Amino acid sequence: MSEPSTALPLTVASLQDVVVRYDDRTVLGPFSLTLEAGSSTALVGPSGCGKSTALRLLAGLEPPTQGHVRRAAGRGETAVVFQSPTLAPWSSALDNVALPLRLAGIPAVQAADQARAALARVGLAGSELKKPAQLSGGMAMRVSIARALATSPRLLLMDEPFAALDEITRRRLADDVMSLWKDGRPALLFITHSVEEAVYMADRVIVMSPGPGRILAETRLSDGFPRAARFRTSPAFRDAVEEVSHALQMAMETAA
Amino acid sequence: MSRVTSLAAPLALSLVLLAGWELACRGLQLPVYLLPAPSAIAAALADHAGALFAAAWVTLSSALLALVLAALVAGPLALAAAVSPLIERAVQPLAVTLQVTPVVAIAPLVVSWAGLDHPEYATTALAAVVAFFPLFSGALTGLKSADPDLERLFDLYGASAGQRLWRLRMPAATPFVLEGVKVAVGLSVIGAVVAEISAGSGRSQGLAWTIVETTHQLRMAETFAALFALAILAVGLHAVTRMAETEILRKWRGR
Repeated sequence: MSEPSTALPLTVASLQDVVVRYDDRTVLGPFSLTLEAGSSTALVGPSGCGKSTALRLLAGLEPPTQGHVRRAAGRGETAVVFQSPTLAPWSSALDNVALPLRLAGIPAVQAADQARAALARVGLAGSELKKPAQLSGGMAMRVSIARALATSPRLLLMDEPFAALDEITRRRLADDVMSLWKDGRPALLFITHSVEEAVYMADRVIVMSPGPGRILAETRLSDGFPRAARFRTSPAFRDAVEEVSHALQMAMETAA
Repeated sequence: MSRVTSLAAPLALSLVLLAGWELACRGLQLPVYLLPAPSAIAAALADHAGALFAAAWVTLSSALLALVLAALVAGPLALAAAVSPLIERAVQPLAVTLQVTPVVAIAPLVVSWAGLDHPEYATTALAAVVAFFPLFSGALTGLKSADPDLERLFDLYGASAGQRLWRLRMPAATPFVLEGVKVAVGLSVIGAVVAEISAGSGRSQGLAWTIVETTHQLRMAETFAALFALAILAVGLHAVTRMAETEILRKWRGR
């Protein structure tokens, strides 16, 4: 269950020995994870290892079967970006971005102004009135990211946000997310299937075992955000990718 | 297929069939009370245009009134069922029972309740009964159709039940409601026709009643004219509904 945080003030959200069971099947845990303010953490692991479950626990969207979830982020201070853009098809880009602000009780005019600014930050100035069906996949994901950032969250959770996009678009979006993230530096948790993406976007990469997911390995990287232009060719990047890939391979073999 | 071809093909087929019919009637010298030739039907249409128009209006108005009544019950009930699983559980089996019971079977009962002086009550009531289910189930399905991740976002941002209904569930229901309306429009005409036929003679003056009356009197050309008018009415109603649906959906999703 969510409780008021008694942990260090730097901790934005944490899972302590959580276990999640659906019916009699354990999908996660025991699992512990602490997200600190200003940090960027990537979660990689085989399909069905409970990554998304861990994310939902951190978001406060569901309670664990056992263990504790501590969340310092209050109502409206957590943002989630899902694998699909998850936009309301009947609403314009502007209305979609303004939605969390409106739900928080911010007056329509002010919410629209903030939403317009958020859209401009993700490079979508001029597309305010377009509806999701009129946007490309990459643009729709940008709207989704703008919506997540519009509330200036303390905790930003991203569940394979670029999985459905092409390589060029996902690299561009990764850079954009990191440069936007730099502004407020919310605690960021990033779930991905791509080891390179994980290493590129996070200063801590956690490899999970097949379900029920546990932590198998943890790789720490130098912060250095935003990444330098040639970061992907640097030895530090290659080494980290190797290390994470190796841990992931071990995880897969355990599963097989 | 080009627009012209797609319009011309059914038209051409109709003309061929009508020509065959006309030739058969003349060649075989069929008596008019058995099968009137298309030319005779056309003449009947022209002669009785005013009466047919009035009869069509009677049928149409009771079907439309029935739609409104059915929507007034189905809408709020679907909202209640969408919000409360208990209400859904309670209502759903009854709604399905109402749906699968043939309207023809309950028509005589409703007609006798309405009484000889007010057959229009029966036509409207029966049309409303058949229109109810597609409206109800369309609205209920639609209200529960919102993207689960979008529902989660509403949880995340602490949306109230009212905000969720107004900003998520009701707009998400729109395409399903429109589909329900389209089906209900067609069914409401069937309901009205069944009721008119059940009422038989009496004071009902709709198209179906005209069909029954003229058949009894072997004025077959008029029977066919009324049938033709009924078909035009139903096709027209369907076309108008579909155009409205397309237009609203275009607006809804922006293209």
